[in-house]
Amino acid sequence: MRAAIVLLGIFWSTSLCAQAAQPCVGDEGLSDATHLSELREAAVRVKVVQCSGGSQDEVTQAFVEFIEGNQDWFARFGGFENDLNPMAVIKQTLAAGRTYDIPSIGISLNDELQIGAAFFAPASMATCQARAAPEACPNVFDEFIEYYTHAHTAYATPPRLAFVQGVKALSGEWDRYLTASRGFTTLEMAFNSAMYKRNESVDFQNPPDIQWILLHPNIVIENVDDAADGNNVEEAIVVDIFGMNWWRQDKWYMPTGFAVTGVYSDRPEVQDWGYGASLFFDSVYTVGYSNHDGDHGVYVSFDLLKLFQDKEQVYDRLVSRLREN
Amino acid sequence: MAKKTLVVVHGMGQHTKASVKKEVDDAFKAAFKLYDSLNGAKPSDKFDLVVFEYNSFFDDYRSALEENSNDILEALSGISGDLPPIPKLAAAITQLDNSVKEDSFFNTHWLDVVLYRFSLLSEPIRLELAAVIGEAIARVGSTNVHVLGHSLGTAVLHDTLAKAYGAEPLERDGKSLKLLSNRDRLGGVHQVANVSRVLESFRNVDASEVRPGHGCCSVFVEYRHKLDPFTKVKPFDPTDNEEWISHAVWRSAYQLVEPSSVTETNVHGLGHYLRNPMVHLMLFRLLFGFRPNVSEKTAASDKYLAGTVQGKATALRDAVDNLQLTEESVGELLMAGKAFKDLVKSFGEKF
Repeated sequence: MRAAIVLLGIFWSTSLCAQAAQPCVGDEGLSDATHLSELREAAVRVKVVQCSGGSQDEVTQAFVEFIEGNQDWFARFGGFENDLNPMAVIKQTLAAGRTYDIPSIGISLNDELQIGAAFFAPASMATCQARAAPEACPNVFDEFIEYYTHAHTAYATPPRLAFVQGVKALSGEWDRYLTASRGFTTLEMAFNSAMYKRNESVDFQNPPDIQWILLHPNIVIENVDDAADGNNVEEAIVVDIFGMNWWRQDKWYMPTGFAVTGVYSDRPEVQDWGYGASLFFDSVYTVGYSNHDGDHGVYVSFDLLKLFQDKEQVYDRLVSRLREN
Repeated sequence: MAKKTLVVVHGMGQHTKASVKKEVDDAFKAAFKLYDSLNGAKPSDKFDLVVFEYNSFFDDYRSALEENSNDILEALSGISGDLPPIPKLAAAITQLDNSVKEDSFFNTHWLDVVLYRFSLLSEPIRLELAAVIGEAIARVGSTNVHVLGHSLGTAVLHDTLAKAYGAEPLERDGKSLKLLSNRDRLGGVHQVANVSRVLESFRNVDASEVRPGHGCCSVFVEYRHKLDPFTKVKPFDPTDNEEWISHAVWRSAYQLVEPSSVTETNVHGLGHYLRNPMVHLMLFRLLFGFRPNVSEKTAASDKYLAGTVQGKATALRDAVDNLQLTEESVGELLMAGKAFKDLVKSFGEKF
């Protein structure tokens, strides 16, 4: 039994070592070469530098060597029209010091190689066809693009992933804005959007720092001391007429925003409507002051009390009170 | 050849990733059946399809409206008779919110257009699409990624690429926020039923980075059915005058494909476009190097054209002629869309 366990342990650790030592092959997903086997090998070498853990500088250097070592890959197919050479164009980018911006190579609608606004067609289609046979000349370009892109991707992946991280992080801020801020009514969405779009640019933007509050209805629990006994604490409707909310503020004891409000509640001997002001906490909870023609009140949002009171009962009481009017 | 990726951005309406994938898959499978040399092959053998769905942003907004309007506000909106001023105001606002969350055609289709164009919900949508495109190009290489927008999706796609791409890197608050047009250039941008110009906002479409050549893509192809009324309102119609792109780029990297055959009334549908050989041959050539010979192309075209319906084509042509578009605005787009929707439904088809 003990021998079996020892043997199992040796086998397991040997497998792990074998896995750890497995070389990076560098040709995953790459088609076999029909026309450009040397170029394929060169592209794989670049990929191996990357997947073996080479630094970005090392990968870039390997890619530069790939470009410089394969300038004449199309020579045996007759070369390019007007003696142009896509690899030479790319060398110019390197000479200008823009190693962070080595171009990708695509194919045009006329089956030419394309780098931006530069197009590269075979000097002689007949020669190219003859050398590519039984395949067609454009297939040579397809193969070139596949291998060039394989090497280029090894070089360009880190900044692309950095971009993905960047936009995802910004997207997360927008998620927070849309979920952590006070809920938007349609009117508020229209107003906040108009304010946001005034300064929209061609770069991705942060969410607005300020959420504008406009004619936002709420239900609150209001206490008016001067009301008749038994009517002090009542449900009330508050409309936040205009206000602002700084949704990023995350200290629970500091207000996130404020609004000027109109308040309605139904009590005998107290004017139904009044004016006041609200303070918001955590962008959700409301604490406020009301003035019903000299009768002062304070109120808190319904959310704050939801842990302590039955929502349904409150709704029913308010609805029936309004219906009585 | 290593597999390329096609990222599809859907148009207005109630879409899920699965429903868009099915529509596109079904159309491509029908297309494959037209060609003997593709017999037995599946589209998924030849290229990868990634669907970007953004409907949920609008649905989440509608759900949030529902949550924020609590029970008492709903009860308020149902109370008839004279309400005092403040509750009356609260009721009016709630009624507006309630109308947005109802399941009507306006809310499930046209509202998407309005919300995308005029609300700040557009930015988080663009950021998510940018992440999807960024992941695709990091995975397979930018030349191997083609992006396709349909209808409202053409505006979403254009705006996203216009913000995502530039000539120089941009870093802000420690975040990298630009792809480089030169280094990260896409294989192609395909705009089907392109309404990006009528919905343009922060940058005009003919001045943005979304162009072939020096811009963010090698090739740029528009697909505009001659009887699709959505494309009649302020279409993107560049000319070969070295304003938008150079003559050389125009010749080799831009094309406007204008199919006219009608196999169903909803000629605006993405599936209808993709089933047409004029459309899918372009895509197949760029996605997996499919270049059928003349006789195979002719045979496929004949098979496809056998399904065209003259009666529907006539009705569509009359409907397009009757559209009296006086201004090139979002409002006119919605009006054209409504008339078209009514026509499609009159033939018993789904819009």
